[in-house]
Amino acid sequence: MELQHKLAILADAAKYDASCAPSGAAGRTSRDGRGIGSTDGSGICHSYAPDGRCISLLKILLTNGCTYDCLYCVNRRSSNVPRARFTVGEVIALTLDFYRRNLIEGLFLSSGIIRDPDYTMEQLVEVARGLREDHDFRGYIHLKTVPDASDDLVERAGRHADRLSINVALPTLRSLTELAPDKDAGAIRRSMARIRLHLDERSTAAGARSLPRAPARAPSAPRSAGACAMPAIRRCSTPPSGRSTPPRSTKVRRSRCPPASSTPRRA
Amino acid sequence: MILHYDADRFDALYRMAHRLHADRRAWCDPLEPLRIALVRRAQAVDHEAHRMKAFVRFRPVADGDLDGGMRWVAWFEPVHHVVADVAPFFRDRFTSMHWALLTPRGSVSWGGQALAVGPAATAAQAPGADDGEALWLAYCRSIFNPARVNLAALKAEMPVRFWRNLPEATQIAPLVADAAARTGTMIDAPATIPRRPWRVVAAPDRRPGRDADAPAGRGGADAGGRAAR
Repeated sequence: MELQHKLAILADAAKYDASCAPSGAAGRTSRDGRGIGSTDGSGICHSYAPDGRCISLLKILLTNGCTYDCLYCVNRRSSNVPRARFTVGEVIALTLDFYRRNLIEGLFLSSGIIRDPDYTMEQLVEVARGLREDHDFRGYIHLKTVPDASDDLVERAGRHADRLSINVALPTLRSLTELAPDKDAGAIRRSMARIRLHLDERSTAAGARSLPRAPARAPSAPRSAGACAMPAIRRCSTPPSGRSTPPRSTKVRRSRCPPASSTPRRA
Repeated sequence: MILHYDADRFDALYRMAHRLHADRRAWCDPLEPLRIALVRRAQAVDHEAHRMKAFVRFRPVADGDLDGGMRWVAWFEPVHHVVADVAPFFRDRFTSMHWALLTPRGSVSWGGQALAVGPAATAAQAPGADDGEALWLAYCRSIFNPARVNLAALKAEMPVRFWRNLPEATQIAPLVADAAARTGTMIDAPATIPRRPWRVVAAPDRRPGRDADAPAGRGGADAGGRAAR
């Protein structure tokens, strides 16, 4: 299948995912590297769609093929949407090409579940690893974590990504059993707990003091259920970079006298 | 502030300096008209610099003499003199690329060693669209949700004056023109039936001109996916 046709299908399949703005990434540049990319913790909206939404990341699915049959999802097994699948190399090349043109801040990659959770997660991780290690890409990477993926894969994902997130999908165990019978609430929570554990290990290893980064989040407290595509409820974890400081503020104080001038909107 | 396009900017600074010389507290007076004018201009310059980081579009030009064989060239028309101010951002982001930023207010290029400031350029010096750009246009078309057209928000965030140098802006008019028809097609399309034996309750049809109580038949699953018990 032609690349442009695949892109049309797999961007369309991801368009209902409310993407995180690429905020919170540790500040870095490509000055001492051999590749490209920088982040400054605030992110940039490079374009806007006619629906008024910011286009900041290449937001795509690796594949919209899925073995699950979640009733709310446009990509469920029984849906009649056209299917496509990128190769790992295609996603890497697309990300780098868009980035060089200054069209995006980075990649937001999710996927339908193909074969099994570990295989799917491995493909996602391989994209991030290729970008970081083979191309020294220093832009923003957000990976969706596949519930049920092995601990080792989640740990590897965290090594390369600025942000990991996992879909809780539905607010109650009953609704999950009824509408997404292939999903396992226990596995979703275990994945979140593992990410938390790795973050804690890293901050302990770095001797960093654990700073409150976000309000405490109980695993069973999502506020609303969306009837959107792949992800119904998105839950972003803290960036797995082991940072001990909050994201750097981009505000520039122009004056010592109040009121401080407000900076331009950095959406 | 001195990057503002207004030719009056140095006069304004001089007037402020004169005012401060007479009374240093003037800088701390939030209602001081001179100060307000200066801060507003500084904000406008900041805003333009940010938009330049966002809306610059590099296009590749083959150059066999370079590593990677490509030079990346962008044409941008900033309102204020922000080119030199923004150049370090692109240097830090695209360190391994050879690139040039052309604007009517001066140009900057990077070849891996140092930023080189050059004279003003014209649009004719910048490269046109290449084949690779079609992928970006395809992406912009696909990421758009036709059921949520919001041109006011679009124009607020991406002012129309930038559109002529943004390749994706050519897609806005056709996307908006087709949006209503595409939305209608989505609403009219029959639902696909899940594989499991779901018992689906038909949602009341709330479209104008339809009988709200008429059953939509099998497959009329509502958007919320409420399944019958």
